[in-house]
Amino acid sequence: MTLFKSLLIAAALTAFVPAPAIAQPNRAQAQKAAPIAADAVISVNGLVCDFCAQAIEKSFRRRAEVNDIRVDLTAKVVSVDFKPNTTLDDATLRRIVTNAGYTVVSIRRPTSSGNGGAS
Amino acid sequence: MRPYAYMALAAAAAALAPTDADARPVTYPGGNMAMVEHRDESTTTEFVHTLTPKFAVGWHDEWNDERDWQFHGPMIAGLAKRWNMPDAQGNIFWMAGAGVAYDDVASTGGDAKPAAYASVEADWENRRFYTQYQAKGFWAEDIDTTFMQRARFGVAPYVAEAGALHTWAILQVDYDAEDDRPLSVSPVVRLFKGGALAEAGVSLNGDAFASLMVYF
Repeated sequence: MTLFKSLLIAAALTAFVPAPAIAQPNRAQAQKAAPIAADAVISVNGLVCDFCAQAIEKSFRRRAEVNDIRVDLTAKVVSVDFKPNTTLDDATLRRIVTNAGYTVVSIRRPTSSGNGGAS
Repeated sequence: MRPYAYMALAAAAAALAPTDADARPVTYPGGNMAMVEHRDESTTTEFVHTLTPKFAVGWHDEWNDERDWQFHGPMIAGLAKRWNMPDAQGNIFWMAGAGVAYDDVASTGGDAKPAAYASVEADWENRRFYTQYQAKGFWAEDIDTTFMQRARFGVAPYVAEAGALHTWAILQVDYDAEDDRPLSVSPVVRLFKGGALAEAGVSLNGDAFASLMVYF
């Protein structure tokens, strides 16, 4: 394959990248890192890449109790918001994170009165 | 330097740069990975479904026009060990597959032979640096036997948050004693956003490649 074709491949790949995400990654990051009304904040070891975030997000979103989830790679925490009148206990949260391949350091319940707290 | 300038540098590096896609073969229970890669004279496709946190099954197809064979068969993969650290992660994976290889496809339509491969892969990464070593052996009766090794070192020009575009500039070194040019050095650019990962590069020998992986 010629160098010209290689250049075309590289150019095609970069063409799929949204320009704002290239030019202003900090703004995109800030938007994504915006806090949610977390019912549980899980400190996790091993969160180093977007793949890690994907694995944890998809594992949590399979649970009917989960309303929203946010992974913060910088703070190394997973924030989980439960649907009204639902919750997941610490053991379940720990199992979801562990099965996704990561290690739970601690679990906090900032709004423990909101959804009934840990069960 | 602005992130856009880093992207331009990474794209330029890719334009100079082979590799196959170095996906994590084991994801999370219920997770899937589909991959297609074209590298100079070979094309590989793979589908992997993770059953447990440490075990996955899948299907591997490979067409090697340079050596005139193709391979098709089921595969398994495992996570042998993972180290989760506060700011880094290390892994040891293994992969194996067995199936059928067809020789001399172009002239005779293929002579089926049993074939198998096995590989081991170790990696370590934090949000700024990435290293990887992979060794892979392939055997197909009376057709081909190869053993290749690969080492990678990557740098992220900027640290991205979850959901943002992740960019890596990677230097890859391949060694295959059976190849006409056993040692190959390749600059590679990797873009990762959401569940899609794309890589492109051209080796200093002029062999180009591109790959796309989708996690779902």
